[in-house]
Amino acid sequence: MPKGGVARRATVINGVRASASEPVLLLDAGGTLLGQALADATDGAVIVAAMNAMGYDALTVGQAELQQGLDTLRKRALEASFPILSCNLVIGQDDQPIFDPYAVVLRGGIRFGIIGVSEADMGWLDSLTEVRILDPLASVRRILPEVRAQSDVVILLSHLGLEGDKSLAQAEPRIDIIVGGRTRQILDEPVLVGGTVIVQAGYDGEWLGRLDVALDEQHRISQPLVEIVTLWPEVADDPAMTTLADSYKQRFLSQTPAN
Amino acid sequence: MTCVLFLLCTWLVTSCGDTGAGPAGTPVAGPQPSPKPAFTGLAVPVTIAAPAGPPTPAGAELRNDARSGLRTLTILHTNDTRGYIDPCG
Repeated sequence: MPKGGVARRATVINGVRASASEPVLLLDAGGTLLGQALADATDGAVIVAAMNAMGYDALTVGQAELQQGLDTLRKRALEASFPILSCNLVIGQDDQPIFDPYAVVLRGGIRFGIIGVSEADMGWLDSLTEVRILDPLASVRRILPEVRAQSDVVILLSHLGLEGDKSLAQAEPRIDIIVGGRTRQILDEPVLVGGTVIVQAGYDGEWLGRLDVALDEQHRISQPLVEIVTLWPEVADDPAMTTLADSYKQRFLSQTPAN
Repeated sequence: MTCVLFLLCTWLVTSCGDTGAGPAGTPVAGPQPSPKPAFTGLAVPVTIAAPAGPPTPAGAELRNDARSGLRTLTILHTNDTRGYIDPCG
């Protein structure tokens, strides 16, 4: 039976939030907005709407986000109620960041500094001549002191892939948590590099990753615990999310000529 | 006939043993070697360096540990969902 879908994901997310007495963050490490029929037909708008409804806190830019060009992604960023982040995608002679390099989310009295970093080798950028990708490690290092000064916990939201995440964590130990993507790996145990915890949760929306960590009074994290939730058909569909998806299907797919 | 009886007896013995018999009527194999964790995906988790400190407690203890003054933070995360709305597209 096929797994996944935003309606099942919303059900699990709502359940976690309902039972949590401590802060819950919801993050996406990129490669998300485009790729399937309805998402492509809406230029990613349906995905942004779904992520808004689920209350995502941040998304980092991966190659898929730029699949239909920079202007399209900028439109989606205006519609998103969460920040779309990248510390190393720049434009112009002055290397101006195209997106916010980081965001600070205050949740439960704890300041979470979330830095976005994009992969350095994006094939799509051959057609986006005005966009440049700076070195991920150098870009993270450049922004990290500013983020640290405003944060209790620093999270890197990365589309570098697991090997890139491990290399970066080894080179830059001041990051507490790396939420990763790109290599589509299902890590049912956290990868530990020094004091940095790295996680990743599969692909195609078939899984939802959960990381629980303990935080002491000095805001040091410990005891990472990972759960990979498989969104089997037995997971009930959230009615509101189903309605949202259906409304977009009716508007954007019902007129698609049959192949 | 003897062969059939032998197989039937074997099945009866193993289905009533402590080898994790399945539902009634489900053929069950004989004793198995130590079970491996269920394969859940593509990656073999790699630990490069584990932090020093006490062993990780069980999930329930972590999520309900108020006695030590520690707070539990939960991060839910997705990646590379490639625009999937539902399993149909």
